[in-house]
Amino acid sequence: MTTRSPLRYRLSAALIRLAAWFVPKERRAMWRRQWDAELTHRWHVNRWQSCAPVGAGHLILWSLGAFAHAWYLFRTEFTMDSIWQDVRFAFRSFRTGPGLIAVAVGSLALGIGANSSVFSVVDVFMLRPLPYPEAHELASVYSTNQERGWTSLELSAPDFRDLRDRSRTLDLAAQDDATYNLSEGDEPERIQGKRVSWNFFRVLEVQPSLGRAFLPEEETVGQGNVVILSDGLWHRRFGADPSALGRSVTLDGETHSVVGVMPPKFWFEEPGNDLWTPLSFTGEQARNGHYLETVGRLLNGSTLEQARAEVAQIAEALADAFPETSAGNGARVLTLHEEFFDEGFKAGSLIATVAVAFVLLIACANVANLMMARAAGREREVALRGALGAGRLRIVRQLMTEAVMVALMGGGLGLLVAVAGIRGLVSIMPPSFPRVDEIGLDGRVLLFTAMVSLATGIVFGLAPALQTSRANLIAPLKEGGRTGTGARGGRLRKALVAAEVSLALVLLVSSTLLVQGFLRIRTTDRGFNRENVLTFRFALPEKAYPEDEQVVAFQDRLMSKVRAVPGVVAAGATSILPMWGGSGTWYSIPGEDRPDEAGRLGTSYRVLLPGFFETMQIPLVAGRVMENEDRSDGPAIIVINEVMAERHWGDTDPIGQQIEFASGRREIVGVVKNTLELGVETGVVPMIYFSALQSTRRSLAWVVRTTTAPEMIADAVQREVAALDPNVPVYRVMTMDEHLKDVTGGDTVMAKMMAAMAVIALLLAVGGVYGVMAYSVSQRTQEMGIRMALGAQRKNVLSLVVRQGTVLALIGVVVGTGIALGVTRGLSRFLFGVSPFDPAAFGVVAVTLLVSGIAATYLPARRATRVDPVTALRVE
Amino acid sequence: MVLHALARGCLYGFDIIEATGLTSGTIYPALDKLERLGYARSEWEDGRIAQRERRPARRYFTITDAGRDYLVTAMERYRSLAPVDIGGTVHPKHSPG
Repeated sequence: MTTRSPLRYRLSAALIRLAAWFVPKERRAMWRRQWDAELTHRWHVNRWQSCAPVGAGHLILWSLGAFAHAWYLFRTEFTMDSIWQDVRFAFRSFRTGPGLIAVAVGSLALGIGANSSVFSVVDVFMLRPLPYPEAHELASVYSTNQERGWTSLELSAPDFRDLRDRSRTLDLAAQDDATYNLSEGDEPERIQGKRVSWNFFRVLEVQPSLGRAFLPEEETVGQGNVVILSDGLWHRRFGADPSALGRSVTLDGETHSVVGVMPPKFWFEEPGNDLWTPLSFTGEQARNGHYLETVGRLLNGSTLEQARAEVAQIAEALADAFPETSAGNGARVLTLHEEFFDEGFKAGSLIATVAVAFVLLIACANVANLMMARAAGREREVALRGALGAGRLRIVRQLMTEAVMVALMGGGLGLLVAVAGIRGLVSIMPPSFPRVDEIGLDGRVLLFTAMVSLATGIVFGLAPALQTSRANLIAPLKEGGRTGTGARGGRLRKALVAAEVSLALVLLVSSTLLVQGFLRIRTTDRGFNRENVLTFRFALPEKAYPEDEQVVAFQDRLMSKVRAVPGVVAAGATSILPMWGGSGTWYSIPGEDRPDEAGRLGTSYRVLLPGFFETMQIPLVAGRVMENEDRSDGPAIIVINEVMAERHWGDTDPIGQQIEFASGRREIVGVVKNTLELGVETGVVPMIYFSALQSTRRSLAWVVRTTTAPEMIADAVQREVAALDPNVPVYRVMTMDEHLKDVTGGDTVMAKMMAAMAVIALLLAVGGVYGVMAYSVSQRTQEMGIRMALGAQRKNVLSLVVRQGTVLALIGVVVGTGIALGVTRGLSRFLFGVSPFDPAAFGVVAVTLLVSGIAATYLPARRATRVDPVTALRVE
Repeated sequence: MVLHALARGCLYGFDIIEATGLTSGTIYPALDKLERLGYARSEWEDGRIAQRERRPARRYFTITDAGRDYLVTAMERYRSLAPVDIGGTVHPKHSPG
């Protein structure tokens, strides 16, 4: 009779035993009694009643109900009531050691605050989609040429138009930088603008909030005198008046009609653009003049791979069709996000994320140590609760609740740290970084902080909680008994401290290297004197100054007036200020055999007004510099730098030699010292200097050397420009020092941020060493007392404790050095020539950490030597 | 239903399962919940009786005054529910005419 088989009974009993695992320990025994009684009763009913109301086959089904019952009890353990009870208990328990809790909360606040700050930046730069509809469909196209080393060159106008017409996978638009003199209203203003193809706004799927976008016919020469304003410019110059639509504005002396206003916060590529005008295509633009940046939207569900294949195919066809300009040219498609936030941003974000994670880990290790020390002091309490029937789960839960409470308090305080951190991070970012205005403490950052706080609580709370709950329940209850977690807990605590020191070393070495790179940027001799130089820029509009003679006459008049300003010792001008960017030209040396175009030589160049070298204090090496007498009616002359001279003439004298340009031959009259015009990491490049008196430039950056603080004459020079023409706005008025800080700001962000991280890491690690040593000494008071009672000298006890701390710091330093050697390689992009394995940096950091570690053990060690043997022994 | 069974004198889980036809996974948690809410109370059977009958002592549940009040309210609410037609079929008792 299978229905009466004892097997059924045994199976049911086993199921009940299994379900009992889920029942909270304090209720488990009663629960088992209840179910065993019910099972027995049910078994008997089935056996004795011939027509059992519930068949014995259902016994198994019935016993499955035990799981539902156990689960119900398990769940009710975690009701809000019981959690609230734990929280209240946690806060009560904090009263017993408020100092320790305060240190833990402070450590976490630093760690979590640093993480939230960095997250707010990384989120905006790397995680959030760009602020255009379906932004993942946007891409950029660049020209490439393997032989010439072009990896991402802008497109030429004809190439762009051919690509736009032929592509079936991309709706391609283009833009080009344009700065204008806006002379509308009372005051002329230099305006940052862009010339864009008519479909630019369609591709981005952002339409003007007022008026319309450009029309296809407005790309035709003569029909493009229309302008779309940014919301900022519309507010600034038109007081947000809707009637601005249809009004005329004068840009570089030409009248343009306002047809639209873009929505607030619209930007593309760089913040701060004020207006857009249509690009004009003449049909005569050169195919080798690469100046258009592009943005395209994937069409008809095409993938990026399809677009890449098609664009490559079109580029190949163009290279075949126009070999004289495009031989070997290809094309490259990047997503728009890659275009805006290049490898530098990507690597920077990754490094920053890893660095703050390290800081948080150090903070966690610190807090875990503190909590373990605290838990060790509570072993009697925990043992008592265990003896009174609290299950291990219940004790772990209570200790975890305390840990999470500490973490949440740390997170709350961390938010304040984050507010300061975000402000600090934003302040060190140069204005050219995109989306900086979006960085802030928003819902995503708050959510991140909450998650990090919770996770942190679990990470640093789990080990101490498990360890304490596993402890021997009996020993701590005995008077004066030794605690059960001592040896194991001590080892874990020491391991955590060594780990902290090693993580801190990685951060310190990284930041030392980055700061070295930063100092290199700042202090490298660039070949010119950046002190006491004022710079400003203006552009003479073509409409008002159509002839070169007029431009030169204006510049002549201004130069003599500027030089007459009191305090000015020299003045000159350049087409591009140092570090502001490059400009290149093709050239050939007469007599050198380089027949085909692909073999042409390229070099950087600047166009100068006489007085530039004197103002910048760039020494002359041979010949002479350009003079005021070198005019367009005289021989065409150039000055070159030493690298250029070495490139072609080696040891022979280049003075009097000629160089051939598209505009004709020019004679070298002088050689000047090399300067770092393009940047420290680029190094010295061959450079040719033309005279602006012979190659007229309407827009020049002026440099003025002063005997006093350069800012003092800023007003005077602006007054001189206004006196000559009140419609010419002067802009970028700043000292050379400010200019250099402005343009190298992006390179120094990492160094500044990592330096802050390193300081936090050092503080936390030293605090960690101190905390563990102090705790260890307090635990060993009796031992110290016995040692001293047995004749140990104070210095023996001192060296015993210091030795212990030193060993920990040493292990941390050795392990950290190993990790750092692997990590710093990834920093090389930001090191600007500093070796990622720089022995000095490693040495200095290792010594700093060792000394700090030893110093942190010294205080507890001294305390150990003051133990009174009698007091210590009395406890025994 | 569980309260109702307790009011009718059922004393332990097995009893109530038989009286209500509900599963064990519903009854036992429900009993604990009723006890937590104060509508039922439980006590362990006198060990001597259980020993005499050669079985483990059972946990007996009884309804409290609060439970009785709650049961009355619940039953009144239940009674006040209007008859309803389900799926278009109309019970002859409720058909008009």
